[in-house]
Amino acid sequence: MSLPLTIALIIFSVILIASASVLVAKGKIPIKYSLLWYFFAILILLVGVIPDAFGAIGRLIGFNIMSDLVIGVILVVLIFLNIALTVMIASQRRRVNLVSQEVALLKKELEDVKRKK
Amino acid sequence: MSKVLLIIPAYDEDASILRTCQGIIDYNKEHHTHYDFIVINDSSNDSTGQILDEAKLPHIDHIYNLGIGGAMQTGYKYARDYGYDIAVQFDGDGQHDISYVADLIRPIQDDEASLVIGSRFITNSGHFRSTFARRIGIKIISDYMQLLTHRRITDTTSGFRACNHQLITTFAQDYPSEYPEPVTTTFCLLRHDRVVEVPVKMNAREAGSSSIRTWKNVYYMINVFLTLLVVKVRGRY
Repeated sequence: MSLPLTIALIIFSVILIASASVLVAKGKIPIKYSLLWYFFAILILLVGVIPDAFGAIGRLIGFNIMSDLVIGVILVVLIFLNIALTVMIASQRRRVNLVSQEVALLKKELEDVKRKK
Repeated sequence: MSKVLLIIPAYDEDASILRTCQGIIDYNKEHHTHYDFIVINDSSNDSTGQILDEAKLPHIDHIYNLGIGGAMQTGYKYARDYGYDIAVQFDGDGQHDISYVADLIRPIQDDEASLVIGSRFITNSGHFRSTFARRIGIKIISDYMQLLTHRRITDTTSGFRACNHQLITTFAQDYPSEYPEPVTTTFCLLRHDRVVEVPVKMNAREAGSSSIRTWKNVYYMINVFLTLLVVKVRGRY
């Protein structure tokens, strides 16, 4: 793997870890979600630092060029992250819907009580 | 006597909602029936909410749009909390004829059915005009549902339906947000609930537009097929 790519991967990984850490520190995301990004960042870091460990796997799958493997790994990870996000959005949507239904019912009940007074 | 609630989901129905509600009130007076009703105003953009407020008609306002499934679930929750025996889904756009509600709830009162669907297709009167594509679509879904459940339901997308207390409780807890009519029917058939169809006539839509738009047909069909398959596999939605 070329030196510039190695350096780029390391820098990218560091930026990712830093960004996630800042978000956690500011309280924007809980640790739970940041772990995903740390995991992702460490994976990229490992590919950058010890490409040989992944080179063997890459050749086994059919990647002849290391940079292709890097892109492939990133692609797969991103797809899985997206699936995880879809699951989260679906469950959030469900919860928000339930809350808004309860609010609507409570508002109705409150108005009925007010009217009776 | 059983307590009957008509759940009227309404989204941007200001042209027809008042007439629909007045129709129920008049019918009750003329026929000495006691159908309660509740309009679920699904965060309409038009003056539906204002009209309901001014006319002091019983209604629940959603704070944002939840779609037909979410609106019906709110209605079922209300029906459950206030101890109704039968809940009838009744459109706010004037499509449904109040005089058929008696036919719809009779099988439940006689304890012959848990879910009663008002069908436009088991009568020969052929009053209902529908687009060719829509009729084909309903036929295909009907065949598919028969394949999954071994039961024939002719009007799979009919929103004119009644259910008993047990289903009110089930639907209040969980109701599908997408394609609720075919999904809940399939669900009930797979559970061996007693599902009955009775003939009804429906009027052409007075106002508003059908939630199934032509350009969405293919997308709709694929979605319904997959959704029903999941219901079949999971035994729930």
